[in-house]
Amino acid sequence: MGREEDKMEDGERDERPAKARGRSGASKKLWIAVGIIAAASSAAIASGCMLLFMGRTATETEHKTYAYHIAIISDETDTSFWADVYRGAVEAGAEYSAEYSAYVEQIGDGLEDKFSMEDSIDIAIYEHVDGILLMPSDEAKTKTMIDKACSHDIPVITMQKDVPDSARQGFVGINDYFLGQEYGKRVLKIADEDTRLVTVLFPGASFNETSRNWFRSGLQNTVRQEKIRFDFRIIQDDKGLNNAEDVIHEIAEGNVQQPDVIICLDEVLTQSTYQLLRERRALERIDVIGSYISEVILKGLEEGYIDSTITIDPEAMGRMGVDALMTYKKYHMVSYYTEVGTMLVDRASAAAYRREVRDEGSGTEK
Amino acid sequence: MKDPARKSKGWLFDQSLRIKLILPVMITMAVSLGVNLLLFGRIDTTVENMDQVYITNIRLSELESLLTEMDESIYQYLNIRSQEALQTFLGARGQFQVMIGEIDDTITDHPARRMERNIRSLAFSYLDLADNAMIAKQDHDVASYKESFEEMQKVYTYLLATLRGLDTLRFKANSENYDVLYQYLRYLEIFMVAVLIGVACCLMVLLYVIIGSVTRPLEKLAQKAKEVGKGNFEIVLEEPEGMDEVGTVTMAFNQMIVSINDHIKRTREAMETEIRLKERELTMESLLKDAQLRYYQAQIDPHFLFNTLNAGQQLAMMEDAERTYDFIENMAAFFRYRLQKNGEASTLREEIGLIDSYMYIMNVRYSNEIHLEKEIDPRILDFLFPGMVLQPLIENALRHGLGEVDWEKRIWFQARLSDGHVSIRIRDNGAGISRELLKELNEGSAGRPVEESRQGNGVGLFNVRERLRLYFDRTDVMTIESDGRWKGTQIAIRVPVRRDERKGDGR
Repeated sequence: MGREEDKMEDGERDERPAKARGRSGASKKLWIAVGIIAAASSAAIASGCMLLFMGRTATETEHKTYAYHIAIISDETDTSFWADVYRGAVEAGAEYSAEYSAYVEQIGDGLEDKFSMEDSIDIAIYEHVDGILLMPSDEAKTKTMIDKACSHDIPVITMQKDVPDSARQGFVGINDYFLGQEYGKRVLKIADEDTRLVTVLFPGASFNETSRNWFRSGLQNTVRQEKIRFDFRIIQDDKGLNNAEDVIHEIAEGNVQQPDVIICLDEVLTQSTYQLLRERRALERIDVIGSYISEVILKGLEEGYIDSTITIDPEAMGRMGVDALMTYKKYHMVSYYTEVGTMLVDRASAAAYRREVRDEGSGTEK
Repeated sequence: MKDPARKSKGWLFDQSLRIKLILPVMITMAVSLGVNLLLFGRIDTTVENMDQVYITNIRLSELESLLTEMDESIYQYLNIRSQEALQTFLGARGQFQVMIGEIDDTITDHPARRMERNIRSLAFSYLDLADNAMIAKQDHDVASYKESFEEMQKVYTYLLATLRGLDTLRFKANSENYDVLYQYLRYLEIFMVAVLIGVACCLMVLLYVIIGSVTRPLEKLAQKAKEVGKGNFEIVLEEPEGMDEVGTVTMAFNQMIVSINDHIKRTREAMETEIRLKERELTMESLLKDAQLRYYQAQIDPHFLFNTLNAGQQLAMMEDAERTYDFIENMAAFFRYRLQKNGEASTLREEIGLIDSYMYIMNVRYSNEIHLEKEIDPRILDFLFPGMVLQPLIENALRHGLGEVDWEKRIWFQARLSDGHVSIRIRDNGAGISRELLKELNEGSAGRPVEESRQGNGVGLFNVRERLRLYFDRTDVMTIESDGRWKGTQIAIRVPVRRDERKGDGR
């Protein structure tokens, strides 16, 4: 019997590899199944997590909190100049440490009704803001409101244009005399023997009589040439529309004496002058010195239709405004006048400026 | 069969069939239930978020109506000093203040909360102005309450504008939320369909593997059982894949097959032994038949022979021919013996008796030429011995050994008992055997019946030896020796003692 058992065992041993193969085949299948299930469940978990994050609605996203609330007010909120000022102010406010961080809010943002500058200041007062940055237009009415705000212990800093006899705590920008000097320098540079007439287009809203006088003095004191005459024209703002077209039309058509140089003192005027004169092909004889820089103005510079543009750095102005306010908040005093430098962009420097802006733009996007 | 070192294929494979079948279904149900719960929970929170947004909207309109109510009632109060209006105002004011107080005062750039905070500030300003106006009215300070009322109207406008602005913002946010939710639900739908399909696929794979692990061994077992049913027990046994019920059945089946094979093997061996025995018997019978046939060929009708011999015996007695009488009697005894002992077991006594009868006849025939010298141990006489063995050997010695010699013919017969064996020697001083022939004879290749049949009617050496071998069941029963030509021949038989059990102890 023993011998037979041995034999049987031998038989089994011979069969074992085949069985082992069969077994490993079956367990391989099992492992494949387990693998599939594991992969499927991890995919499910991953996409589930994705869905969880995706499901977060806009209201759930985090927002910063601030120590101060600053109102920034202007009548011309739809220009890119203003947008830059606003951006500079917002960034400056956010850059302060938590203790002094300031939220800069454009009054009227998110409201459907358009409020006047006076109303905006009023809103700021009744919202108990910690300070007001103001780009004033109508000086008389603005002065009352500035005084009202100050009587409510709300510091006011004016930007670009000053309201000198108000109770405002400080002014950030360039005064009109200096601005006139800057334009005068440029006129001198491009003037030749044939230059006889320089027309200055004042935007009526932002240049009141005082401003105009200061500007005129600065300009004329710089040019000081007897053969060059100046023609000062005020473009009246009437509910968002101005009479610039009429004035420029007259100039282009030769209804009035045609100037050799036109100075446009804001962004909108510069752009409309460029557009109108280009349509009438009158630019060859007229040099345009504009204000501020926009995409259209840059194009005009590159095409040679605009000689040059003089601008203060709007972002820097916004920043300086906030800085002035925060200085006041800290020390209860601030210097009366903070000067923002100007810069001149001509055809040669337009490309460089464009590149710079693009770099900055992409930088901030990151 | 059960191998303790047998490696288990895995925990799952050793579980019972019930667990194997229930487990994947339970896993799948748990997975799909979990996924569904998670996703529905997610939908719930999203919907709750949206509800929250609508709740704040409802509060906004509440605020607005309270504000309007306050404004109207204070106008009435300031105008006509209506106490009813005052009560209305105070009621609305209380409610309004509570609602306003709930608004968070943190300065934030969150678009909605920023406006909420502005509403809060404006509302408090409004309440302050209203309080101032009331006090002024009570003090009859007309200029003051007029101024306050005017300011209040302004703030009221700002407040309404801000409230509406916030409303619009909320509406926009809700639209966005709705878009997000809608998109989310769309993705969710796709995701859930994908998950369900995935779960179904996984379940199918899992079921395929697990049910396969149950049915495959069963199929194999069924296949094996079918083969066994056809009578093939030489199948390769299947090792059980797991320790479940099927595994147990497979192991029992394997054990059964092993037992059956074992049984078959033993039966076969028993049968083979029996067949071998039968074959030996048959061979012996056929050899005897062969011997008998030769004698039958050689003999005359026995009745006629015995009658004739009786007649001769009576005649010899009547004539007082005593020697003739003895001769005929011996001859009759010889033939009777040969006829009687047809292959039956005989005793040595009878065998030696036959030799005596034969020698008597031969000496009558050859005028006492042949001398037989016997040396017999009387103890062996009753031992069993195959019949017709010794006489043929004597006959063989006479015919081949002494047939052609011209000297005195002698045969020595010796029977002894030694070491439990009967040792018989038959020697002659005859012609002897050449070495080659001797070798052939001892190897059994010579002296076959056919060859012998030509040489005479005797029973050949081959026949004698075979019968001795079969009878005693051993091969070394007989040797033939000779020193060469004319040197005589000796046949030595050495067989174990066999007693007749019926007679008991050899007597």
